[in-house]
Amino acid sequence: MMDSTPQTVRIVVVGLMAPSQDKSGPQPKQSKRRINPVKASNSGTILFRLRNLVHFTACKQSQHPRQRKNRKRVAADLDDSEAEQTRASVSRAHRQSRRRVRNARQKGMLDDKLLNKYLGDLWQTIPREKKDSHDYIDCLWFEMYLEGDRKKPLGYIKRDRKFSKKYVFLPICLYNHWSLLIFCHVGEDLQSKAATPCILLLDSMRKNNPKQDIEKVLREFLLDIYEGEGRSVSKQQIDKIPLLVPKVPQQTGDKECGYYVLYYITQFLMSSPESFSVSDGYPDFMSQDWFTAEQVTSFRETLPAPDQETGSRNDSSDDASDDVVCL
Amino acid sequence: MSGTTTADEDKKPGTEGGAHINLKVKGQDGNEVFFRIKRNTQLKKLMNAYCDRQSVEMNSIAFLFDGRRLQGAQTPDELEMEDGDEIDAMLHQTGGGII
Repeated sequence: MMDSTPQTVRIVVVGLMAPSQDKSGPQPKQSKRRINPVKASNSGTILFRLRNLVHFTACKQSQHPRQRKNRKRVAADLDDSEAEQTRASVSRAHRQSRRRVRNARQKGMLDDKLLNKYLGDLWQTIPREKKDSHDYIDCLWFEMYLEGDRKKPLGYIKRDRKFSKKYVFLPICLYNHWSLLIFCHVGEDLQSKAATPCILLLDSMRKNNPKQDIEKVLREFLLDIYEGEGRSVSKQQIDKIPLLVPKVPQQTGDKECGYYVLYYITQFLMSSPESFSVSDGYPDFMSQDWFTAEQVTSFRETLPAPDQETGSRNDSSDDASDDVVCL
Repeated sequence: MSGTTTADEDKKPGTEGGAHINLKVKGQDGNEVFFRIKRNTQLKKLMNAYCDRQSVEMNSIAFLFDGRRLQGAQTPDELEMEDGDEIDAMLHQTGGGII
């Protein structure tokens, strides 16, 4: 389906992944020449497999939006076998990533473990009526889905009846950046006039046009969820569900996105309407001056410090005992 | 895959209530590692052993059982794990911003 030669693609991938390239700054002209324009993306899965690889290897390197765009194009050029080849590098990437999470935490970024913990804590405190209408999905379930292991996360979502709630939060991490999806009324009747289903994408770096990276696979995800629940919904109906990127407060630095995601959730929980219809506009509280950067900072200060206990290796001295044997 | 053996040699069918069970940890690359663990042993030990074997830090990996995140202090008994159950090992995601 793609007429670009695999060789071209490989050269570009190597170029993009080499840290020295990233450091030396964006070279848009060069990239343009190397990459063949893609008429159609052939698989969201492949895109995200490659995205993960890039995510592993180019972690914390500065990323120019244009490079991000190019990655997407490159990814779309890959066929399955090539994507499989890239998997071989993943374990190497694991090793390379050893210090990444720790370093990131020290630098004030949020990882999924903390994010999930804070969400869990938050859910302990919200009133029952909020719990009845709101839920959240572990970001790693979606990551599994992106990785191609689709059956498991879809099973978990069905098991936990996530989409029986009016509003479902899903934090996502793409290119080392957190943003938030809110599925609104997605589990309800798609024909409903009072509460039309829609998906909101709240991004504290909206200028990066987050929608382009996620839309295709998101719609596949939704279609899979509906099919898993035995609802007869056509792809056309899914495609009609609006994916909106409202103007929301933007982060001022380069590390706060995870905290913005948490704060969007807390604020949405406080103000979410009984129902809303996109034709009436966004929920009226959702705007660029919804809250201030200072409020996020204060909120952040209220969060408990990360619990070191579970991640600690201090007590691993007795690993050699026969309590656990690697076979 | 990658030289891991199957759990057959240690598998004792019908050992319900036995002291040990066999668990499989599956990485994102599809690689599977098998462990035999005491039912009342904290899973922290299994996590440590897995991370050691994969040469990654504990802090960089999330472990999920049935989609739920494992806490180091939990035991197979507590989670009602059964022989042959699978744990997913996933790389943590970190985000700050893109500048």
